Amino acid sequence: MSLLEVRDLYANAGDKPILKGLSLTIGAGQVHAIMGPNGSGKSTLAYVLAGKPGYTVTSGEVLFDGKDLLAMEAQKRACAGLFLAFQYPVEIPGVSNMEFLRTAAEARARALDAEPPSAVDLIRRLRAISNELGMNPDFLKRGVNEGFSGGEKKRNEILQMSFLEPRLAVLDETDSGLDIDALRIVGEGVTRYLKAHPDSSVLLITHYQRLLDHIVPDVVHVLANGSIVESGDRTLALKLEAQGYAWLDAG
Amino acid sequence: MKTGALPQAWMAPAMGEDLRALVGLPASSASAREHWKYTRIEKITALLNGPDNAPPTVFEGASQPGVTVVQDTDPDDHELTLLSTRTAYCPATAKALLNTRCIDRMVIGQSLAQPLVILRSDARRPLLITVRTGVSARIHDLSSSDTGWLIVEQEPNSQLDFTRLHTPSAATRWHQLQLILNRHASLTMQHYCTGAAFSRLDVFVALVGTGSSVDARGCWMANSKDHLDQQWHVEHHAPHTSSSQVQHGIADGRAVTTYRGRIFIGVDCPAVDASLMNRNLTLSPTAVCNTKPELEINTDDVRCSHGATIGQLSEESIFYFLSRGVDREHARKMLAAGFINQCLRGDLADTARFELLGTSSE
Repeated sequence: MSLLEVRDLYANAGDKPILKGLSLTIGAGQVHAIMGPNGSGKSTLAYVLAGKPGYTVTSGEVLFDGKDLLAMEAQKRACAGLFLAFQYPVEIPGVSNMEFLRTAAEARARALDAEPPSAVDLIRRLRAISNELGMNPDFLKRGVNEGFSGGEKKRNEILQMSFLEPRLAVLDETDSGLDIDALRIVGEGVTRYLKAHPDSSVLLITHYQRLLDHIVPDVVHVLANGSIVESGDRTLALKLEAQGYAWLDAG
Repeated sequence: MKTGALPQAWMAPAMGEDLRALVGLPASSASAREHWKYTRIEKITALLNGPDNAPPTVFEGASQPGVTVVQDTDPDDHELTLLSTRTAYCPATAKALLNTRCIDRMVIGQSLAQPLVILRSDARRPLLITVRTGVSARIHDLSSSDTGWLIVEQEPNSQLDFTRLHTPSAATRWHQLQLILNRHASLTMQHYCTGAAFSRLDVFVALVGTGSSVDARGCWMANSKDHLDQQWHVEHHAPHTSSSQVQHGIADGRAVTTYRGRIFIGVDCPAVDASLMNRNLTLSPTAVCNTKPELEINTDDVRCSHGATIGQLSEESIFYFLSRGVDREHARKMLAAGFINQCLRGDLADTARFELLGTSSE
């Protein structure tokens, strides 16, 4: 059974129709990349999947692990194993990263009727993940994304992903704002996560092929004007990098 | 007792004909009217109409070496002057003063290992604390009483860490604080007040000695139909003095909160550095926040800033929590706790967090 199945999805951002009949199937353990020109609907797809207010589905359906994703509230989607790495992570002053993640872990444990992690386990895991991502463990005491550089914010998103262990991670332009070294560290972090969680899947939204050097996709899709217009293996990304999107219009 | 001269500016006009007559002051001013714009004086003066024999102040930590306590005593001339200094702005003070038969007096003569804790107070029986020259002390005001009138005079080079916590109450409350800082005295102050059905706080800080400084941080949280009115006056009456205020307020339900922060800089007070920031967060569409930062500057060559904001929780921030599995109600509480955490530090921040979230900090 596929992990995510999007069927003929139409959705608006505010009053504006953005997604126009988008269909997409992601199997367990797969990495899919979505590329496309500005305004094609990539981020809208991410927000619709995550349940962001202001984004309305007008028709179509989305099944996540066989369940109706669109019927779930945003926090229940997260508890069910969907994770969105934001393109522009918000700053939350006064709430430490440690407290934020502890609260998220507790909420997920409650939803799954499981034991929340102990304080010792939580700190141990977070320190290990932050080391792998080259982050100073002191950041755990700082406010969520407060005063972080663009690269630090993106690394923090990957840290959260690794800690919360989602079934499906949607990475919305995680490569934007990263320098070469940070891009490699983030790419290795995602790859490491996928190796440790072979049933988890990733939906990568990106403009550039360079991230795909570090996170090798099984399928690459091209999103244009609200729907998938082309799919292929990673050579499709190389073709887009070389030729842009104009050839798609030419048919 | 050696102290700096008391500022004439403190003797401003009072409100209410009877009280003006009692303290012998001229007609009301715009500043005095502003002082009572959002709270009815009658609610406060009614608090002070009880029997004359007000109960004594209750302390903890007063048996430490270096602390002298004299209860139920007549004020001397200097103390009488201190007691009368704010009556102009506070008719309630005047009323209490007129009813006063005695004061409680405490002198801190050497630096203290443990904090002094005030557990019970009554505005009809003012508490005067003197922190002697060069002494360091901590005072925690945890009084749950309906009224209180505390005057602290810091002698030169003394250091005071003052914390004030007011927990929820269904009662009507009025508390007044007067803090007088002499030469090179320093005061750090933290204050946290949760809802009361009707609560009014008047704070007066007078920097009367060269080089004295105050750093004040305050937070309050009002719910339901709470009425919470805070009036802060920081007055610079000497050169090279500094003050910094950060005040964060939260209003939920149908609560009404008021903050007025006035910075006054007297004549011939160069090189003063004063700042004030009041941020307010409304958690419901029916909550009201009033804020009025004020500057009154009578000397050139000073640095002053003041500002105020009133806002709501960001939907983007709430969605960030939702996207991590945290429900909306808990997200609101955590964001509110974060708002307080940006202002308060240490035990008081933990207390606020515990009230909001039921958990302590990491």
